[in-house]
Amino acid sequence: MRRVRRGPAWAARGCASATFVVSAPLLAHSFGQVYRLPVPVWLYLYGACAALALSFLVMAFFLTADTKQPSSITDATRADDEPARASRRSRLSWLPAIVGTSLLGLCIASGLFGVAGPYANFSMTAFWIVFLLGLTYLVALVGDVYRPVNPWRALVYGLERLWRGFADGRFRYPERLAYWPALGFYVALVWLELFGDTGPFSLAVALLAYTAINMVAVNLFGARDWFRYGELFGVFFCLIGRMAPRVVAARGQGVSWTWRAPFAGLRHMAIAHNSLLLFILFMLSSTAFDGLHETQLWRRLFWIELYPVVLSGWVGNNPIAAFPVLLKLYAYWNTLWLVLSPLIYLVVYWLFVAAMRWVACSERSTAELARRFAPSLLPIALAYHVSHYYTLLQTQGLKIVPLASDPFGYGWNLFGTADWWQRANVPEPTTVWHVQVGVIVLGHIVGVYVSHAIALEVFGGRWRAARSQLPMLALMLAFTAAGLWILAQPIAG
Amino acid sequence: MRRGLFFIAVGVAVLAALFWAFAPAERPAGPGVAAVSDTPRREVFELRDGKRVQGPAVIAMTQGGVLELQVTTDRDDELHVHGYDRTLPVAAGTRAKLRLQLDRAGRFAIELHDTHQVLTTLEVAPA
Repeated sequence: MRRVRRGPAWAARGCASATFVVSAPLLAHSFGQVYRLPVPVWLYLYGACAALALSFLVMAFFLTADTKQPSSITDATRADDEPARASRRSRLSWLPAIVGTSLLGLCIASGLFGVAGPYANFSMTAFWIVFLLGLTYLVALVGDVYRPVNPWRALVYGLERLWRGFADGRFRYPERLAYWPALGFYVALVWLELFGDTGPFSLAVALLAYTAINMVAVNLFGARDWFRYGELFGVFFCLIGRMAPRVVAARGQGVSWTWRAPFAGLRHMAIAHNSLLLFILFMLSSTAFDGLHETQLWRRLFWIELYPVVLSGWVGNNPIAAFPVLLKLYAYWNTLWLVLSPLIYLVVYWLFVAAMRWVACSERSTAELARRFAPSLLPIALAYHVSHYYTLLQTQGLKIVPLASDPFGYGWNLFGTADWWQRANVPEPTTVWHVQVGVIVLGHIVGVYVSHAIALEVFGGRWRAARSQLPMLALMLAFTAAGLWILAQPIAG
Repeated sequence: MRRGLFFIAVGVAVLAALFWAFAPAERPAGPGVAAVSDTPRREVFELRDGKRVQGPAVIAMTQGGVLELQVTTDRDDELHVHGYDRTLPVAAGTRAKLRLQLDRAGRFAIELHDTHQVLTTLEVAPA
């Protein structure tokens, strides 16, 4: 079979034909084919009802349980084995560091010098699919395995050997900066993913820029603080790793692995700053927004509701003449909502936490409670993420095997795998639907469970904790129903 | 531990009961599907300046059916059906035909290669 070299739907632009409203700006998901059909209505309703029924079961479970002693909580992104100054002995094992750095190097090199077709170039599949999606799910299963392979961390410690004191930092990391750099990079990353129209070359440039920023920041603030607060992937995978049933801990000279119940790490996790709370909310809202902006409903809102009623006075009534301007406005419109999305989630979350505080008659502030309960949102965020993106691992992730043999798209066959799995791997829609709904309901249950477990530690008494969880349960049902509803919406263009 | 198992069992029972209540009755398979595949559905498209002037934006069908695409253009190009990975060269001024046996369910873009334009979307519902 002929190898399909040219990418599909890449940089597809809308057409200004008579039907332009429906087929207009195809700013679909930036990479990887999604063959997904909307979840049928009955399954959506089933998922919502299952979430509701099982929530009360979780509540009953806790009401009949023995109350445990409160335990201590630890900071969400603290790494125990990171030395205060890099020049002191750093526990960096070289093999994973070399693997991580080589892969980053290959991504950048294939992006810069390889073919422009995103599907024929190693970099796009390696970064967007294998790294961003695959590693997220791996970390959720086995703990933060990103830290040892973090190529930027490895580069810093490599540089440190040549330039003593490079990673010690010139200034103290400003407290006010908190996790804002990581959140900023996260918004930029999702923006690039959805609207950046990246190809291998622009991805390589973005990775080079990110590398440069990291090096400068490490030199300014020191490796320890920067990798804890500023480096996006470090913060992201650390949060995800908290859900894993496996935990890595420093013990004397080495590192040891221990097992724990899945998601158990969330109960004792301190969210030190509001910026990290917003980071967690953005994990939820960016995925929800990605799903929403692909739906017909979202397109219609702009092109059928907003354009003729509000914008036509501004850009004129002739749709064909106004089209280029409208396309630009649509891009701004989408960016605006992407940036606002975590704030919308924050307002909703804050209201429900305030309600919980009122119901539980707590003397703690709403802000403190909002941070304390934030880890219970992580399972829902992970469930959103899995249900929206896991099929990409199946359709595009497997292509990393042929791409590894021909990373630059030059027609090489280094490992003899270049011609493997060329036929599109289309997942069965009924399987996808059941996995999507199942994962979202499961994420919801875990969220409710973790939240209740935290409530028992924060509020004490069994009945008081249960009462406090009624608003939280309503909140999580709202998030879950929203996630399911988006999955059930007809997809546009 | 036993209490945990009890709650898990109740949870599974609740899920099963709800599924039983919500899931639609199975459609009779076999003869119905065969009847669909006997009559191919024909969709005619016309393209001018790389844009669709005739033909639907979405083709909704059921798995097992047969689709026949007829495409007329004023430019040489190549049509690509995603998921099925079928291509159809289209020459200016002529009518090209592509017959598709819809054995895969899902949502597939049908795209013009040279302009990267999505001509239409094929939605194949599972049988």
